[in-house]
Amino acid sequence: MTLSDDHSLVGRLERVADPIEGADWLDVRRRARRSRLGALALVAAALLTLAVAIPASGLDAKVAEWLRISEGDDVVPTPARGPAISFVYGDRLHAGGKPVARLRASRLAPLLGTKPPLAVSSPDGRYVVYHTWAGRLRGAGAPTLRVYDRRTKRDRLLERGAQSFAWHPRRGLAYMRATKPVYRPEPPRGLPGGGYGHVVVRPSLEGAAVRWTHGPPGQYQVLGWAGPDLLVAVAGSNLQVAQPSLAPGVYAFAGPRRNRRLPMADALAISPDGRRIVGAASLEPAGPGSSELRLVRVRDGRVLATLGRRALARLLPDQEFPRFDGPGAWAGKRVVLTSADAIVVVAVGARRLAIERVFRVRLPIERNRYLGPWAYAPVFIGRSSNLVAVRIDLARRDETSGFSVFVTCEIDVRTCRGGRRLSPPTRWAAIVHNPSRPLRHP
Amino acid sequence: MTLAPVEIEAIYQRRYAGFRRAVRALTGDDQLAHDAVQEGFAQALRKRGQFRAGSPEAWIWRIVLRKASDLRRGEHRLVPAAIEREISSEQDPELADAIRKLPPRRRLVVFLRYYADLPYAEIARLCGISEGTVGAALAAAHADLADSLASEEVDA
Repeated sequence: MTLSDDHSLVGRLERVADPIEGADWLDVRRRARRSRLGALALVAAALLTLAVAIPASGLDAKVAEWLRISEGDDVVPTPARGPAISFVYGDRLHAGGKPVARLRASRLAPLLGTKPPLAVSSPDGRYVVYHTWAGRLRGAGAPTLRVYDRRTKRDRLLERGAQSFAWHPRRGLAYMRATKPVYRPEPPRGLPGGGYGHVVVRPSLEGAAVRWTHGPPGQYQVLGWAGPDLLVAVAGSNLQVAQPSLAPGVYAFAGPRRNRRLPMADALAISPDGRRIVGAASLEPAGPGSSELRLVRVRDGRVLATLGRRALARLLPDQEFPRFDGPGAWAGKRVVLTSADAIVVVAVGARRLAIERVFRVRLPIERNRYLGPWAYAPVFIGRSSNLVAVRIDLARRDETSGFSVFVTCEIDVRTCRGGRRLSPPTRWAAIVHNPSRPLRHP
Repeated sequence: MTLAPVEIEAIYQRRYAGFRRAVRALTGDDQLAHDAVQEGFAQALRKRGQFRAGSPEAWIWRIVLRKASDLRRGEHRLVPAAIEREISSEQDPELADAIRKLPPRRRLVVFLRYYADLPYAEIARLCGISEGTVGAALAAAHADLADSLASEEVDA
């Protein structure tokens, strides 16, 4: 048998199966919704139980009275008042706990989810770039970036058909520009638009954008600037028409078409000087304990230290899938990450990673593996490595019940405080911050 | 890193037939196979935030497999008679006949690769053999099929 014979045979084999009718995507979506409703019924029952068990005044006013944070078996005390943070909830920009501005559109990014930084402040703090959605939430629409100017109170469009954003004082603004701005859930053919495109960088709000990725459009997500390098996550694509030129993973881009792959599956936090990052890597074979936290030098991708997931699993024996989850934050010699309902503080040395402390969020209802509570996207407040703010979500998938709440913790003295309940959770909540480093000129 | 619904949908549109064939061969039940695929993708949609690294397709396949196992109350093995039924083709009856004449192990591997469109790793897992053995079995099957088809041409 010759090589060409074999190729011809393989071609025949690949076409041998008869077509099967019966594919029905709408039915899949209906089934997904039905299961959600079942889960929501459970949550509704839990919340009802909660409402009966707890005096209404306590439930309605502040979460702090019934949200508890613990470390090990110790309940962490709650101080009288905590530091104010700046955040976006729905279409309101809050500062000092009060709404200070109404944005033109609600903060939303259905193609990205709620974990990435969706309200990013400029390095000088004047602007807030936020994600929104132009169109029907459950139908066709365009991921959109808008800019709010705190000084002039002006809210304007940055770009339609764009998502994931990073801003560096010298390198400029970076984001993913969709090849087709409008995302359609059921595209007639070709690319779905919205989530597929290229990474572009512009020197300023008014500057011209330059494309940094090449080849066919891909699912790129801009993570942040690490010094002069732009960190970009590349997602795997199953669309045959869109095979990106880069394999899935995390890349450091030094400029247009100049990139190197970093040894991690997910970048979680950037060091204050932008020279190192902490990321999560998957190990083979997959299984319990098969992922690890890595401290990586951006310049050459060298792994400086690792921390196995088993260390975390020992501290969170009741969690089904304990893992180092991001995005996190880095200040001083501390990185703060999350794992389901836990806030994980990791001590970082020159060549060392070690878990320093783990806080748990406790609600007087049984934790549900799908509906939470979940701790998300911790951010250090100010320049200290002591104060950290975390968003807690409960029943995120529910459109009527559930809530988000911001919790601030003082790591050194082991105190945490829950803020006011933000409900409904369909108005997405996010702390305004900038994950890129460094944020000031050296 | 999470999966976008559109990405899951793209996998569904491309892999529905292969997944259904594979589950049908595992259970011998066509309606159950359809339900397992539908429920599996529905669960993948709901849990897409839990996807991390690796192949999304392999991740969804494992969910479908679990659903099939749930629906069969834990029973989970290949049904030879069901595979026999699967190996028929209006597209290429001559090739389908040649596949039926293969030794059982090679026939099974060819079925899982070309009818169910499964990757080597999944075939290895389902058959309880190594990926290398899958490759070797496929290569041997190719040679057998080429011989068989060539001899039919000569006979004609």
